[in-house]
Amino acid sequence: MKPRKFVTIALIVLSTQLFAKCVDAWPKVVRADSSATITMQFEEEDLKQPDKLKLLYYNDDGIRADGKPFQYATPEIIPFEIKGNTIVATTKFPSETRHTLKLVNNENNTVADVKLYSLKPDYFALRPFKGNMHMHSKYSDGVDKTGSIMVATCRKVGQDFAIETDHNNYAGSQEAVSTFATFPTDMVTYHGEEVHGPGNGTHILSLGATEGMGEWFKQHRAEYDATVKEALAKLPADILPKGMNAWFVASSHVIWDRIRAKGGLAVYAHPYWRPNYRQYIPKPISDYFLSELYCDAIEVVNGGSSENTILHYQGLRAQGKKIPLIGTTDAHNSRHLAGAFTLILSESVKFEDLAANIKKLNSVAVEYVARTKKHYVHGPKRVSQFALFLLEHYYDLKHDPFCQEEGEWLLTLAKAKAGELNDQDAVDKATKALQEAKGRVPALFDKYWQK
Amino acid sequence: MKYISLAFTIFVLATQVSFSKLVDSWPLVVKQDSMVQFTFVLEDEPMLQTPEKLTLQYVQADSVRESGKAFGGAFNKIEFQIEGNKLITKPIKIIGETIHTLRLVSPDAQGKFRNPKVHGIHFVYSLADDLFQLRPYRGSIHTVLNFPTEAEQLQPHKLIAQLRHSGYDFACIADNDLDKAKNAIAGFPFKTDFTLIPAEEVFIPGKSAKLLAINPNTSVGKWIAGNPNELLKAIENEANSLKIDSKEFTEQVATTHAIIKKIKQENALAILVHPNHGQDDFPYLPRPAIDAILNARQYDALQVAGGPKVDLDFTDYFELCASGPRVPAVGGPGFVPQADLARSITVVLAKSNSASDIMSAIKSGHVAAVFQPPATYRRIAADFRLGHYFAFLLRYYFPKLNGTYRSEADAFNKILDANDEQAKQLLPTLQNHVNATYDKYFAVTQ
Repeated sequence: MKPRKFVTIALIVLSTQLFAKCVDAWPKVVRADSSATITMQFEEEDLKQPDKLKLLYYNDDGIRADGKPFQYATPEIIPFEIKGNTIVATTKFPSETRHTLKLVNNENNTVADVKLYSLKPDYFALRPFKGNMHMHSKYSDGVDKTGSIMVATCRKVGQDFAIETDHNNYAGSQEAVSTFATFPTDMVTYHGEEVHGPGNGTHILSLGATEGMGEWFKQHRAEYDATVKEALAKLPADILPKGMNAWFVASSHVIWDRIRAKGGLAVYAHPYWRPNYRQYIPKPISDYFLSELYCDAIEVVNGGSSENTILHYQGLRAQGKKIPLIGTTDAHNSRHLAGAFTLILSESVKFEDLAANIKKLNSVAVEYVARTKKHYVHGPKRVSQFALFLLEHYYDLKHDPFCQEEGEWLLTLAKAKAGELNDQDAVDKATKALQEAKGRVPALFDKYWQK
Repeated sequence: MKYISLAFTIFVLATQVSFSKLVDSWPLVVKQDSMVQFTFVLEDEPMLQTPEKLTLQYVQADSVRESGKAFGGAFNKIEFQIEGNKLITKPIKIIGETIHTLRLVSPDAQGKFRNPKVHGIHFVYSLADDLFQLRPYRGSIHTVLNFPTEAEQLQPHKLIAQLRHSGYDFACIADNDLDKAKNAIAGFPFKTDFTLIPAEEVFIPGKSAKLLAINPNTSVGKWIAGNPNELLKAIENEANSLKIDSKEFTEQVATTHAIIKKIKQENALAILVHPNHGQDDFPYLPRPAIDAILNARQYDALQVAGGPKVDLDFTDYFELCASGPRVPAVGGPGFVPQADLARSITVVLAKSNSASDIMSAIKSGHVAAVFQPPATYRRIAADFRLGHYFAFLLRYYFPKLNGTYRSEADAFNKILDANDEQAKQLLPTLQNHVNATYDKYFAVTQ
């Protein structure tokens, strides 16, 4: 390399080292069309020469606070105050979009680049929660011994809630719910099950129901059969093409109804799963389920069978249908829990709120590619755009690192409970650490959402 | 542990699939509801000596049999005969518009088919007549003549060779200057199957959206620069028909529409370039103006794949489709490093690879934008019918052309660099390969 080139690169690297010291900034989410005060916190930065610094403001919509467009590629310069090692600026954040506050020095080098997002009142009233709602343990065909090990691992990969869903087995999730009730943690889990009714291969996620469907099939088979027959009799004769078994439809309707009656959310799982090169539910039946939308939501992202479902989901939207959706890993091994999740905007992480907001289309299905550390978001534009902001500029700062720590501690406790770890000292340390950490993830909303 | 898992995976695969001896099989694409005979070419396959031990299994991805009943977990058994190293099936009826699988197996050590030994798998796509009549082509709708770094810059001829190497059947050379694009194409010294279409990127900073004029009669950029009064009049005319509150946005939308109209007058395709483009996160037009332009749908197609914010462009595309008539989506790499030249592409179904047929295909919506992110599967902007078919073609059909395209690109480079005689001899033999490949892998209509 030529010496001049080397010196230039060294200077660029040095300048980014010298100036890139903004360690935090808040709030990250503000009310649209109102003023907010943003604090940028610096570490070991000489902030005593404000004349050398300029704070530039612009946003992705290209609209100024007065509603007029920005001049092309010309940010606004906004006033700021220096308070100790912080810079504080107040400005109005128009529209529902992403905003940039860029602190530059007199040579126009960027000292800090802070992104924030403004939301209209309906979304500002909600908070984002990430969760995985489809996974298996040894209670069915998974590798890991218990649901609580799976849920603890979900925390480790940055999730706020998780639901264990063993095949026709409610007990896996019961174990997770009862175990987590004894742990000092903000991570929550609910009852769940992947249901397939007798004579019906359709996989249905029963989420949050107060009873197991698998148990109902076993203990009340005659009642199930009679209810499905009754439903079958009510279906129009031409509901499916000739040769297709309408029992699938009647049974699924009965199961979806029962899940709802038990307070749960009924989800049609992985419509395009193709074991042995063919759709697990014949396409005419699957297409009928997708078009009638008798279930509450569609599992649009599922581990390895998402490509066609995503296309079909977008095709249904193009027909004007409103499709509630979720994204899951369908992991059968705790090592595969990071690849997908659902991000829900909700009043709280209570199941009722999460379920209601999935139905209100306030959720997106997210895929995560670990090799490139890239997220892919599927869902309605408004929530997708906000989710992309959170995934790029919010979660990595504090939320996910906190969750990762807590996940490690929770795993220690879950493995000890499952008899896979016999180390009381480690359990005591993990319990103490969790007690001390309790509340810090929910508190992020207090700091990073405008008061 | 990582290596143990890897070794275990290899061991399991080795027990499931014998080292593949299936070197070729056809057809790949057939007309739906037709009777089709398939040919498998096997190399050094000892099992061909004992055909009674081989079973050819068939299943349809929709899980629907010819009788209309479901496949369930079973395969159909297909009769075949062996001719030398070829296995030829009896004609079978291929129903529906979907993927089909033919799997050549022999029983496991216990003589069962639960985990059979697999000797080869052939995938087939069946199509209704309207799409079956059309031929698939890969291309770029937006290729610029330079790269982000100094070290990567190429002469136009070399760039065109690089595009061919990336697997393109057609490419729109779209710089900010139509003459540059035309000169690059006119000066390309080889007669090949590669369709090169001149185009230009048109943009009035702060005043209009970025647009591509594909194959215009004359330069739209020059018209804008040289006819301010005519442009002003055209903008006024457009503005009168708009109902937007803000004066600034009205001007931006009207300017964009006036340019689109001019592009169409030049018999060119008007492409709205990736709507979330900007400079350092600063949008090149305010969002209300972009939204108004998107929703007015006056452009012929939307470039969804190839912008710096491809996630948001896909989101915009699907939201647009959810809120009104579907718009054709196209892709092209634009201003990217050489390694990313094939990441954002356009796939069309057209009558031929001529510029006019490709443009007609885009206009009529027989097109998709495809983005191939690293380490995961492709993202396709299209309706389900085309998207499902294109995903199949991108996996099983287009790669069959790659080898020839690379050889052709190498020949271009050798001739350009050293006037290589061998490469000169080779080049003509590589032509008409697209048609020959199509003829082989697309079943003759019955």
